[in-house]
Amino acid sequence: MKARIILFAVLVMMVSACGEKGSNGQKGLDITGQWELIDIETKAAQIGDAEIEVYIEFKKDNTFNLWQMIGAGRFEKMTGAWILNQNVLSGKYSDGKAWGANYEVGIESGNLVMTETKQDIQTYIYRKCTIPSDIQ
Amino acid sequence: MLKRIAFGGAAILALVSCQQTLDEGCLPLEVKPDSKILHTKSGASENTLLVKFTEVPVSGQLSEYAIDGVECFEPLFTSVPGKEELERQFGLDRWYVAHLSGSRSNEIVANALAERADVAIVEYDLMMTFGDDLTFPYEGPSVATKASMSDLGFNDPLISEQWNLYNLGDKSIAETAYAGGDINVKDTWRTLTAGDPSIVVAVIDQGVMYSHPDLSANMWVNEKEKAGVSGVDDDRNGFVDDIYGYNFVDMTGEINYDKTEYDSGHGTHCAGTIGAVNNNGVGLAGVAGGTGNGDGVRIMSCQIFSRGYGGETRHSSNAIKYAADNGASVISCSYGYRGGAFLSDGSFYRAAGAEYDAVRYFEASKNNDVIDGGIAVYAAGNDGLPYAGYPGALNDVICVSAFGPDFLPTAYTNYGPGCNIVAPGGDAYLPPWTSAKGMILSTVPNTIDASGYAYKVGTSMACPHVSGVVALALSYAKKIGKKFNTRDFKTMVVSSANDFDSRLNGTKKYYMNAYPELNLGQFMKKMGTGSIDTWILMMKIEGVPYIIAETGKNQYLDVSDYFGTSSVNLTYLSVEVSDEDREALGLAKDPYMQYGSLYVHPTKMGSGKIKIKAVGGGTEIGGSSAIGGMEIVQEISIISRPFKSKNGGWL
Repeated sequence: MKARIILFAVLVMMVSACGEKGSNGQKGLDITGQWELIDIETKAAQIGDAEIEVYIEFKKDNTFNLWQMIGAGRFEKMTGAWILNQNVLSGKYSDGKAWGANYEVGIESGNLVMTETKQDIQTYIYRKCTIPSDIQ
Repeated sequence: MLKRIAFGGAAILALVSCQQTLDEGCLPLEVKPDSKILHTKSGASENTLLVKFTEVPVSGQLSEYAIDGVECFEPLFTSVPGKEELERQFGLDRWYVAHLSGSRSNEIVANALAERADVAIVEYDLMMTFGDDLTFPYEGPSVATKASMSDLGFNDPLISEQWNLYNLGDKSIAETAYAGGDINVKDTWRTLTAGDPSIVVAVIDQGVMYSHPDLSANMWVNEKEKAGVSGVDDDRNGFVDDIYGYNFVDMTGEINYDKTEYDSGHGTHCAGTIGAVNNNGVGLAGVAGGTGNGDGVRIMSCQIFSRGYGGETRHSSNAIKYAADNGASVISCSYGYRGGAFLSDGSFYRAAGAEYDAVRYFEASKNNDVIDGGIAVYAAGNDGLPYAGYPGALNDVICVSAFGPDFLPTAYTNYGPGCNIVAPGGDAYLPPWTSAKGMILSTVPNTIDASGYAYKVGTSMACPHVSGVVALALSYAKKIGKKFNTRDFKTMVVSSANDFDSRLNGTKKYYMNAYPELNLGQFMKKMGTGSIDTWILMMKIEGVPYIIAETGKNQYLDVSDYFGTSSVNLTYLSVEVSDEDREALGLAKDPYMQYGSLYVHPTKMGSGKIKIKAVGGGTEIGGSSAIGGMEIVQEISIISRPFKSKNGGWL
């Protein structure tokens, strides 16, 4: 089932500061598989009400497929390659453009937790899923 | 003498018709704004005047309005049960035709009527002529490099001749043919939609050959009249035997289209571009002609030219109202006055008030759940002048200029103020000029060409391309459950355009100097918003993605998803943001547009909307005192994130 993330005003999240990351250098870290964005934790003050749906498939051959719907009425598919160094995930799209950020990643309660490394203020939580065929 | 012409046969019209009408038709009319009498008697019917009363006359007391020289009055428009309120709102119930007895001249009668306090407007009933068409026969299949049927997905044998739908830059068509110079419909057909029979497009033109084998399955059919009794108004819509539309010249349900000295197959040609039946193994494809499974949009024939007669204001006005009252969501109007005959919306209203009122009535008539009114599409005219002809130049109808297979302006097209967007109109005499394939191939009555197909050029041909794309967009909106108001929808259409200006360098030459060399620079920023792109419009129907901005940075954002790739060429009027969204994004400075990009400086993560107003064609909005473009209002959604990838990807 598709989960729709609504980025909503969450001032309280400043207080909760619940963006604990997975431990660095996590051994046996395996991020391959299909993932669905289910939550965004932020240490910022205000987010807004944008509707976002994201599915990612990290494949064993270090390529990925990304399906995103950000405000539009249809999913946009992007592809590329990823690399995991220790627990820092980075990548490039097939058009040669780098990802907008690198991420510290970890697995927590079966979820993939990705926190962008540069400013350390946004954490994205993905859960294991089977990406619906009508999206792919 | 002012003449209204159907915008076809541009190659000849540019040379011939202008001479016919240059004396007065090419010059602005002088009509006193405070005069009750609209237009001049020149070129008007001696037998009729159009009168708008200050109040709705009581039908039993119409004789009280009679003056010497008036035989009788009759309502100009046919009232439809259930639409009385809308008719009142736009004053259609106050328009009457005064039939003159001939005892006094129309000018004397007009002056006498104008003196009455209960008469608001007296309008000469303009007699319009139909310009000669340039028609070339279909020459048989080509063996040159062509789009394969598999590319386009349909089995129509002539589809490979339709560069206007899929232009591969075939040099046998023109040495300067430009791959991609088309309406970009292929992927829409393949993946999204090819039409919907609930969407009706009225072709206001010569009669459409409703029995044409490549059109008949997509004709609008009034089933009650078809199954009814001949000579009886079975559906009680005020028109007898109107099965495929109506002939407003002869006031009969019998649509005619046969070749005479005047009939050229113009209406049938336009209809084929919109809705020739796709994938039926016959002929060619229409923009919204379906997939061969009965799913094309429907064509309604509203005939306003017939065997050398017609085209008067009362015919077009009645045809537009009929379309509104009988289910059309789009009117495709490849006719109009010469460019320059009117130079403001106000001067057009003072000359053709009844038609102006009818257009407004149509725009307010909801005939499908997907849109709350009608969309009027007009040709810009073939005078080669730097402004559009009216009614196309009205600021709230979509006005279409023309390009050729070289993806360049044509010698005949009008351009400049009033022109909103550009589409394939075809071009003749492009080197090597070994065939007519640079023109637009479409359906014609077999009395025009035995094959049932022929080539024509003109903004008349460009107009139905946009009408078809509009119909496709409405079809797709229905399919995915989207609903729009007419203002937002028109904004989406006019802004679904590809950059056209970047090719406007140097000159364009014609075979054997058939036309003077064109200085392409003269068209710069004067071809509306750019060339219509079907796929972009479909993406807008689905919803436009948010633009991601980086928190804490000054930046210029690419807004081409919203305004098309011509965004750099538009004239922007304002950029607005609500206090709430300003706070949500933490905007450090007011956003603004520069060189087609949106400047923002968000200091917070968040999202918000910014409203941008622009001119769709030209540099100012048309209005009562000016000819100009359409106001397009676009809300842009922005997400501020601490980072962004250069291609908009989420990661």
